[in-house]
Amino acid sequence: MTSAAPAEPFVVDLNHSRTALQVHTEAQVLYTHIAVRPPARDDAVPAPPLNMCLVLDRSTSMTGERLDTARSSAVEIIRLLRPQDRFGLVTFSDKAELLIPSDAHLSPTAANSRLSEIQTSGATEILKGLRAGMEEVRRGAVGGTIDHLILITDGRTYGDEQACMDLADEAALEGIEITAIGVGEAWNDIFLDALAAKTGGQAVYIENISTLNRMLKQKFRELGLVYADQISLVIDTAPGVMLQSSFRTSPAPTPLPGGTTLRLGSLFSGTSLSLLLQFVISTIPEPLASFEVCTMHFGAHLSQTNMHLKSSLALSFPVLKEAAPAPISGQLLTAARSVNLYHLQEKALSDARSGDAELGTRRLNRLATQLLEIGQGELAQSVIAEAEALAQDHKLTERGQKRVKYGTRALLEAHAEGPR
Amino acid sequence: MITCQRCKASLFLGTLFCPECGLMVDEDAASPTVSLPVDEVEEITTKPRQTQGPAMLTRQDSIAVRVMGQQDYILGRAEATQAILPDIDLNRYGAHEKGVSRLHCHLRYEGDSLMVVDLGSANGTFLNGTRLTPERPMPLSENDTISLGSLKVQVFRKV
Repeated sequence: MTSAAPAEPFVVDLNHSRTALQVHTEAQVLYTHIAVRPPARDDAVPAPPLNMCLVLDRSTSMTGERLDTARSSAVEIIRLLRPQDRFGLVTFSDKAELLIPSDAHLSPTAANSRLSEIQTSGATEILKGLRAGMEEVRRGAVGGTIDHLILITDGRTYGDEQACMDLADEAALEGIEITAIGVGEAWNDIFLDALAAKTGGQAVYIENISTLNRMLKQKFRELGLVYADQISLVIDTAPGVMLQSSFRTSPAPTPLPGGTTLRLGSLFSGTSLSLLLQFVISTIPEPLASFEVCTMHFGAHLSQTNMHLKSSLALSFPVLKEAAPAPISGQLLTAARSVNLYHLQEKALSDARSGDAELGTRRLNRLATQLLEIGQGELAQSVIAEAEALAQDHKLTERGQKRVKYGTRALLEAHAEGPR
Repeated sequence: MITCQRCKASLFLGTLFCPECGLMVDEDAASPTVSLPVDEVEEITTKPRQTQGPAMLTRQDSIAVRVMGQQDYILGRAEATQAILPDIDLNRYGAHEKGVSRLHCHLRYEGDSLMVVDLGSANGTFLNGTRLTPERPMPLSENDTISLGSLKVQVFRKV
């Protein structure tokens, strides 16, 4: 079922796996794919000023190519700034320093000179960097700006995780989005995923530092195309209905934690923001003209006009004794397949962490089989390598599990629309 | 509840993909038993998607594979330690002695065409006597013979 509501300022497409629910003595599953996009004529208006802070880990492990590449990438970004943009840079290890204030408007040469002062030393204390970076973004958040913090780290932080999460909650409330970039294999993916997701942002895995420059430029270009940000969806499920899974499939595919309050991040001009929801609906004993699954409350900040919008939609279906299967859109099917594979690897990694190597290995092997079947041979090989490591050593490799996790997530990117 | 055709997990009605093994769920076919009606056929228990799976007929110097019921099959030699098992295990036909690799070749439909792809096997896949380039799909015609090492396999489709 598809419904397109051309009402301004968004176009929303809804696709469901069923056109009707079935009278059933047991639970049934409903998938809903939601795609939100700007109206066709949105591209004439320039995006608002960017207020960005780069928070760069300068702990000892960043020595050498990692720091050099981060420096040169920062200079590249500075080169791309428009006059109205603000760009700050904070470095941190066990303390934080504001190296480039966001209102300094340094030339690339001056910035390069400033960046050459960075010395690596000490441990990774992310809270210190995050606090200083947030402070800098807050200083530049004068209203009508795209407020964004990019954290680059290659290490784990210890003891301050909860304080970082609390800070991310504050960022979400203030409309500051966090992108967390993990370099190499030693960083804590679970932590950075959760941190970024709280704000509608994403965690990115960079296996090889040489890709940082391209990734940052892409992020910068995207932020210059923001049509709406601080997009949220609150899903108020009806009694007997559970939201089992929610996943942003585009842009930046990522699972969405937070129960029924979903922070979806930004929508870029000329693209769609898509998500896949999976509901489990308990017993429905008799036919009904209409069964309400949930009410969805949509919220967004329209960047170009600096307006906050809210809108609600009830999702209802008839309940029939024999609900004939209806055609399912290819978009929904593709999303459901990839999200399912992502969840399968999550289960396998969770098995491994909880010490059930046998079940984890079995699940990884099944995942590899599926990946091979959809032509993802390279990723399948990574999965097989981890299955073998788990079977033999009863543990996964840091690099391998990140490859599997972010590789499976990236399956959705192949189907995403827009400039990514 | 419905049952996954591959891993037998119990699934809620309406599930599109099995959360335990990733297989696409076909509700009409999600019955727990698959039967193969042909007398001479040996049952293959991997990945049946419809009411009939692949069927194999043994002959003296070759085997015949009917390709039906799903879109693709991997032919090879299963071993207990193997991460990915082939859909069609050729061990019972002396696969090891005949030089069949564990994941030897792939049969798959592309539209209406049935293709064979060598998966980088040690002793090669031969189509009517010509060795295939690994990873390059080649179309199969009805009754073509492919050789996996020295094991001959005749491929035909179920009408």
